[in-house]
Amino acid sequence: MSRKLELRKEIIDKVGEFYRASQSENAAFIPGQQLVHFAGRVHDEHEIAALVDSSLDFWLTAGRFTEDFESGLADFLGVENVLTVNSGSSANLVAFSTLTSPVLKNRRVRPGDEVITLAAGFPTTVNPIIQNRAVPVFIDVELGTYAPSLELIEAAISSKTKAVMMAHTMGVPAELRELKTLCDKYGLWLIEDNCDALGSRYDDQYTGTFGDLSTFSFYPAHHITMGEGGAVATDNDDLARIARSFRDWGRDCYCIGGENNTCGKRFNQQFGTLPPGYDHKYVYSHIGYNLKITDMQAAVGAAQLLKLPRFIEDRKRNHAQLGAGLEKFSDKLILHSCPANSDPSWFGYVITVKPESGISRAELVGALEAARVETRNLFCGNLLRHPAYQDIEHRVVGSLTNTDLITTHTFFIGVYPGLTSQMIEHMLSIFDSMLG
Amino acid sequence: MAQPVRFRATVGETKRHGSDVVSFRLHSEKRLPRFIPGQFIHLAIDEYDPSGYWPDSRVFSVANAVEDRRTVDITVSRQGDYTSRVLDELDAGSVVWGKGPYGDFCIDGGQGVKQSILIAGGTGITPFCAFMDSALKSGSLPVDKVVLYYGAGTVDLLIFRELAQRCVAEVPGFYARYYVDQVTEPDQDKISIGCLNIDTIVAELGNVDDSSFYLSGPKVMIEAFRIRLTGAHGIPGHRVLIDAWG
Repeated sequence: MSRKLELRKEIIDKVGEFYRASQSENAAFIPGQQLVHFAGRVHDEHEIAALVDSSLDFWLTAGRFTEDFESGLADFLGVENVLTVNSGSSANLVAFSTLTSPVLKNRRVRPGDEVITLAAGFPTTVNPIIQNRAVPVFIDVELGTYAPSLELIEAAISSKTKAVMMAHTMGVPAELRELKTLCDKYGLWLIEDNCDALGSRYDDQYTGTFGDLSTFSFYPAHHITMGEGGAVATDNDDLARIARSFRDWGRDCYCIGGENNTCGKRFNQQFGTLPPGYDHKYVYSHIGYNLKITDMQAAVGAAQLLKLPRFIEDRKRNHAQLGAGLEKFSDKLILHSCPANSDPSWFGYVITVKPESGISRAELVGALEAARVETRNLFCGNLLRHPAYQDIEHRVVGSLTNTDLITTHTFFIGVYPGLTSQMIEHMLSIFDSMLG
Repeated sequence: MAQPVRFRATVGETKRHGSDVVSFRLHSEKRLPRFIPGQFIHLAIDEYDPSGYWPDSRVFSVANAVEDRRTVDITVSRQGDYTSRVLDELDAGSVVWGKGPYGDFCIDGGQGVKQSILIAGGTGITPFCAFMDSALKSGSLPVDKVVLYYGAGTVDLLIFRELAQRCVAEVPGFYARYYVDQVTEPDQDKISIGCLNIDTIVAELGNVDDSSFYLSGPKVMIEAFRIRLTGAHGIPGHRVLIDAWG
């Protein structure tokens, strides 16, 4: 073994020691004293070791760990292409921008074209539609699943509709296979915002593999993390190449950082009105961004990916424990549910307080927070009620009655793998004291 | 095209076609992206630490469909120092690094093309081998008709003629013509004597309005054929594709 490898091993061994020493200082859970988070990073020494390992490479930009993470996630999902970006929001931006590429000719999304989406969710599912000057068409969701009905989606389709872009809210997909069939019938693109649903399945197939493009988030609150990070997945090689271009400044060249002329045609092609032979490395076929990750993030992600199957099972187990404990309050609460044929990798446990329950969301949330149990609203509630969205061009099909109810009556609590059964019992005890 | 990846591979079966041409089968340690027939890889034969810069390498057309996402076939001919090292140093069990897939020398039926004309000189046949492998597996072609013109110095250097003949027999719409400078074996009446000649090929084809031409082989041949096709024969430049690196 070379001295360099010996030192690398020694450093990484020390990381393990450091981690184990820090773990021994962690105190046991005391209900009401320690915070029960709604989400958080769950890791062990392997993530830290991978991070240090990549830092010793000092490659910094996308490199071997990025390749490993992208191919690992692609293998997990069973898709051909995964490209990493620096957040789930960036993934949505890249995925939607991909559909605006001139390469797609008459199928490209142009300004004024309509895109069917949800108002109840996270803003950056919708923002790329607005930023690309397309028109979001909002439809309502069903309470319990927080997913839209197929009938409503079909009712929203007009002659201007080019795409459907929506999130699998809190890990729960709409009826995806039927939705894809509907999109194919009308010639619509489908982007799955799968940021909250890594590991969810519909018809025994992973969500994020039905649409033309799908997006993922690896922010610490999500199913796996790399700190900041996200990804776009697609089975379509042409869409993948466009997406990479948008991610990488809009350039036409696909060489990764540190490489040149892998195609052998760097100086002998002609593009646009550039002179023949203009360096392909600086030819731009899209008006793009720079949304790449570092190899250090990917190293953490690659270590997390190995834990994903366990994380998914933990989320399901915790969700089931909460569901069983809350079942007795179904007269006062709308409990979290999912469509038939779906098997969610839940992001959280979503609760809507029934208006006729005699208790308000504020009272219930207040009690939970006072007992050191973190809660969150269902993100932005009705997006159209936020200041930034008052003047956007949009269309609403039907009413947003349920979306408005979500804004006032809905919240969620955690199911993430960092929760113990004791923590969940503590959460349930607060519901018992407030509703029992 | 799929995002290229770096992969460590072990040389499996090797097949020597004389002292200057060898086919190698590489077994990748990891699952590879989707290859499109006609694409190539970079091959590095020196020790490589993946935490650093990619080492000195050369490009080689992939000669199979890489259907199993693990097995990559290449054929190497002696061209210079590096290819000589590949021929002399690599054997079954050798560890190499590859990087790919790259390239857009891919036969498709876009832009109203109904006929694809594949012209291969010597080991320039390899990108077409991947196409033929894929056609044999699918039993169909992406266009109505494909005609392969395959030339080499001698009959024994038509190293993939058997593969081409299988395509002729099994894939509807696939045709092949063979040319050699000299016949060294008896009973080779299906092989024409003489060099590949682009004017003769065009004349034999007749109407080439709906055709794309794919040229692969020695640089001199490719360039001469490209100039004749786009000049004297009036074929639009975008329908003359060349397998040239550098």
